[in-house]
Amino acid sequence: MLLRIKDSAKTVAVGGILSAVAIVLSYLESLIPPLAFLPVGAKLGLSNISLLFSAQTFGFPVTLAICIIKSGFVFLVRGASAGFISLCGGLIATIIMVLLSKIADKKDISVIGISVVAAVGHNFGQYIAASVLAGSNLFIAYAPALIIYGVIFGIITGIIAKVIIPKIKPLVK
Amino acid sequence: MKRKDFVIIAVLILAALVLLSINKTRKEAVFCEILEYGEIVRTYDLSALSDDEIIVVNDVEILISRNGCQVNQSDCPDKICINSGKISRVGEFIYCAPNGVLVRLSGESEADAVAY
Repeated sequence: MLLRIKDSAKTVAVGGILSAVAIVLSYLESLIPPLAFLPVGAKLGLSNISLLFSAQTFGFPVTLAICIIKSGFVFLVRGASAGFISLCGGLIATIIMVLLSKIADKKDISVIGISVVAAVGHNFGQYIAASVLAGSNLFIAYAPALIIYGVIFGIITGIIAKVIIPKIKPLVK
Repeated sequence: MKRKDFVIIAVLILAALVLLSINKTRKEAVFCEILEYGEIVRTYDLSALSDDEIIVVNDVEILISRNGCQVNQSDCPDKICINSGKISRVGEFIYCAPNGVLVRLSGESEADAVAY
């Protein structure tokens, strides 16, 4: 019993740290100036590293909590529409990450593969949210760009996650 | 990277290329629709436009010309709508989420019968 309480306290504490990391990463990312060759609104998705770590270490509830806290921050700082769009993208990415993390070993998929699928899912989630807000089907014309940038940025964040996760996992487990 | 990672990436890029080749066939836009919170507030027939027009919908200043549309000014925080630049093909859009304004290009108008 004592052990279980200790474990849950640890989960809450680490979950809180991961939420803070996700918020800081998404803020740092917004400081990177827009690059000319990238389409508008394309972002690296560095905060997905935090979600990836949580999905692999704690599973669905903690990852969902981080996703909601991060979107809550976006809601406070950038307004209701940005918060809603962030939440929809995050929810889809969270579900993909948790499901793929469960089968990753069996199916021979690494963190990079999970990151790529999650990034593409994240992009589509955001465009679905924007379509709902706009009351109009938006994402068909931009679907190729959503996939390609999801793949590129997913590989980049996946590589970062692959380097970082094994280093911090022993600290929290 | 494991083998399945490459399979995933290859499948996604293939899907993108297929969608891209479908999109290539998109024509120059004929109609421009401006929506505010999902309601069509203006429709323009671009081919019939003689002069450039500038209209303001919910604090978003939109330039409409024969060869496309762009947002000139907006009071939103992230300026994604302004940075979207000019759109000219069917299916392209500019969306300003904070102001709920959507500029959409289409081949035919949903509000064809309505004259503005």
